[in-house]
Amino acid sequence: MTWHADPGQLHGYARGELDPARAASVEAHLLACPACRAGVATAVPRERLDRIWAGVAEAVDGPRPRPVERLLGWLGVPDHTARLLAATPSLHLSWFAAVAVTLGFAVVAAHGSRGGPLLFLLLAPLLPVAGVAAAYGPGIDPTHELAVAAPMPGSRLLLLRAAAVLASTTVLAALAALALPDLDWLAAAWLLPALGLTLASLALATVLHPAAAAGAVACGWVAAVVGTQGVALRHLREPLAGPVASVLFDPAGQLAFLVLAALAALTLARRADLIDLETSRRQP
Amino acid sequence: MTATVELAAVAKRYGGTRALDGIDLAAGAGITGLLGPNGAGKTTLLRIAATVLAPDAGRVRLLGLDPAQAGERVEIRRRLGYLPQEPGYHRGFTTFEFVDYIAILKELTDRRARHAEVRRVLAEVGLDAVARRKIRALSGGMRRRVALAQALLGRPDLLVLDEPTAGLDPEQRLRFRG
Repeated sequence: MTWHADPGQLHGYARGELDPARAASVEAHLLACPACRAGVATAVPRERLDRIWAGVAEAVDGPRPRPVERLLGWLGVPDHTARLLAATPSLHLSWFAAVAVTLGFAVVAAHGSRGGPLLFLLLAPLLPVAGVAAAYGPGIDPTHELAVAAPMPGSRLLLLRAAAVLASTTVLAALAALALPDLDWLAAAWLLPALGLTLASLALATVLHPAAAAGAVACGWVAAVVGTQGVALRHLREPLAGPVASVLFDPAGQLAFLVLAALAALTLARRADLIDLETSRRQP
Repeated sequence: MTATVELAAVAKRYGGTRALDGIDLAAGAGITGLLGPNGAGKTTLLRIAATVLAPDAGRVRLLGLDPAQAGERVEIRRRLGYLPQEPGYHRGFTTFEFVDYIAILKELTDRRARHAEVRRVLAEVGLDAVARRKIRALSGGMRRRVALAQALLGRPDLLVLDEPTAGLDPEQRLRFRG
């Protein structure tokens, strides 16, 4: 090489300040000129070198996202949030399979019994409650102790996962509801109870272990459905497995679950930081 | 000088069992070790020092801050590395994915910087070669080193390590102590 690049241009190249055309021109010269290359090598700021090296390492050695993370990324979820969700036990394929089987069983039962969609209406709101219980907490999340000691609030992690579980379970239940016989507004009467019960279990998780909170809410729901159905059908002189008659699925019952959801959300907003600190009273 | 870890009259009970009763401790810069027989309450004390357990009574200050206050507790956790006695793992994750997951919990959200930090701590415990291997395929000693790696994320000011060398081979124990 009989000529050398202008020192000003070499300096600009080293600091990444040249426009792409000039940078490409200098780069082409550097490939053939050991003297200019040696000059540039010492002029690149350490911070820039580290950044470039991190980019190379990331491109060559970076972990490929898991399928669920790719799906979430496609939906616009940031990669770090997708990783937090990928670790949620109740967002694994096996969990979705169990939910699908349960819903399928309830739909088949609706076609073959006098009770119609009662079993479906009983089970559908419980699925997100169970999913939330299996999303966070000691004995459920294997890294719970590490998560508690980390600065990210436990309430944020729980709410993030609960939202994902509620959304995914709701989609599955809505698809299953389309297969119910005599499709009418009753096919959607599980939606508000699902929201109300899920939020109630989250609010209770500020004083109880999340699994115990979900268990208490689930028992209360089953008792309420069976009790109100029994009372309503006694008046009609029908057996318990007769048509859906529980007041919980009337407009007034639905309104009550909307109020429950609002109260639970308020409670959660006021007490969420209690989820952060694991104390002996919240041990399973 | 302010002690890094300061406990005064700390007590903790599990039902009828008294795990800690009026413990006073002041530990400054450097390494402080706890020695005692099984069931003496060492792990309970370390869990309190790691902010994962609240004492029933007494006063705790870590890095000059009060972990009973929500805001100060988060600040402590930003400067804390913790290795529990029995850390759990998402066994379907690779070594890298697991440490990356903990890094996200430690608020390292920038992907490139986070991954560089994960590579650094994995190299520090000699596990960079198994970064892509599933956690469930690692030996017990290697898993212990993975747990140690996550504690080192972000170069914490306070490291709380419970049985850090349990399960490590003699060579790794020497390396750890070095």
